Amino acid sequence: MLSGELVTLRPVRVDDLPALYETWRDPSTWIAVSDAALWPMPFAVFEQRYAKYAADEELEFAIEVAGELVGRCSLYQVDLHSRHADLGITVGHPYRGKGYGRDAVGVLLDYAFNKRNLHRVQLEVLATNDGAINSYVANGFVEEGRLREHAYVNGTFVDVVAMSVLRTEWLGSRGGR
Amino acid sequence: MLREGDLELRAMTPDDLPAMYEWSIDAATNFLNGGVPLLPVTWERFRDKWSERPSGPDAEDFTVAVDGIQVGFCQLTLFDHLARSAMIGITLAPSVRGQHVGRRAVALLLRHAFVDRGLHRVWLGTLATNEPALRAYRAVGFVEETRGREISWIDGRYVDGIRMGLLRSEWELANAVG
Repeated sequence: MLSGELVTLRPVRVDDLPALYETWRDPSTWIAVSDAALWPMPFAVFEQRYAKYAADEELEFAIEVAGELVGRCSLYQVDLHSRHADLGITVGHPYRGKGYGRDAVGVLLDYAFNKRNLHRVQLEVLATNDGAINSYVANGFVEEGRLREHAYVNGTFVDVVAMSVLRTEWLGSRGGR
Repeated sequence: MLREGDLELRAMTPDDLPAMYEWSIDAATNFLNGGVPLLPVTWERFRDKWSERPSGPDAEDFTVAVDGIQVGFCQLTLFDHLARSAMIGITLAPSVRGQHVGRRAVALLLRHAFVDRGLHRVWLGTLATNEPALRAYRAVGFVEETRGREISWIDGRYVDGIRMGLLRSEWELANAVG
């Protein structure tokens, strides 16, 4: 559906769910993205929630590399009045460190600005997640500050970094329309 | 329920809704709050939507009253039980702005958040152009943490948003608890 240099973004399919469930409950994912408690959610509940989430017009994409599912990403909490959205992405443990996340973020930003006419894309990321922060900076995200001790991960409170990229900045740097 | 002198934060009642409706459709109030477009909402729709709001430990709504008279609305909401944080919000009738009612109400709400609810952190968002609000929040100890660039469309242009936070340890130091 949407192509980058390394990845393809496409709608999530029913047969993606087992792999997405494994990534979702992998503790290494939790340590990286934790914004909710890790709990033993049964697959049936995950399936149900995911179906509802996808149906509620959230802009959720599966990330594929050479036909293989490597993660998911989305634009969510879309504010149609102020024209901004939050960006979220998860890459499965075996697929990290290969540039897939960075490429997927670029594809999603092109979608947000050129296809959906948004003004601003924002995100929050744990201050300890250097890999993710580097990917976001590489795509033009600017740090706007830190929410102090806003998250709790593995025994300690952690700061959350707020970042954003504006339409004017992104289009200016890409020569988009 | 929560009191300080002539100021009280009490549970909301249906009788409080008409005034809240008037504030919600007041352009000047909307321009202070940001985030929600100014829309021609009818009283019936406002009242019905309000009755659908979830209320409970995770969404505390208060009427702000001075000498028993309703002058505003405030809330402690968006509870994150893992990180033990919540967001505050407050709206005051135009007639009581500029009299420190806001900061007194927020001070009461902070005591409730840290002492009654045992929170680790309280945060809020406001517009960068809302100077009276920023002054009031700074006065009760909030620290500016992020500036959301061009986050709200208000009255013909994009405006930045400021998020502020206050940690329990900071509040305790300033309020000499225990």
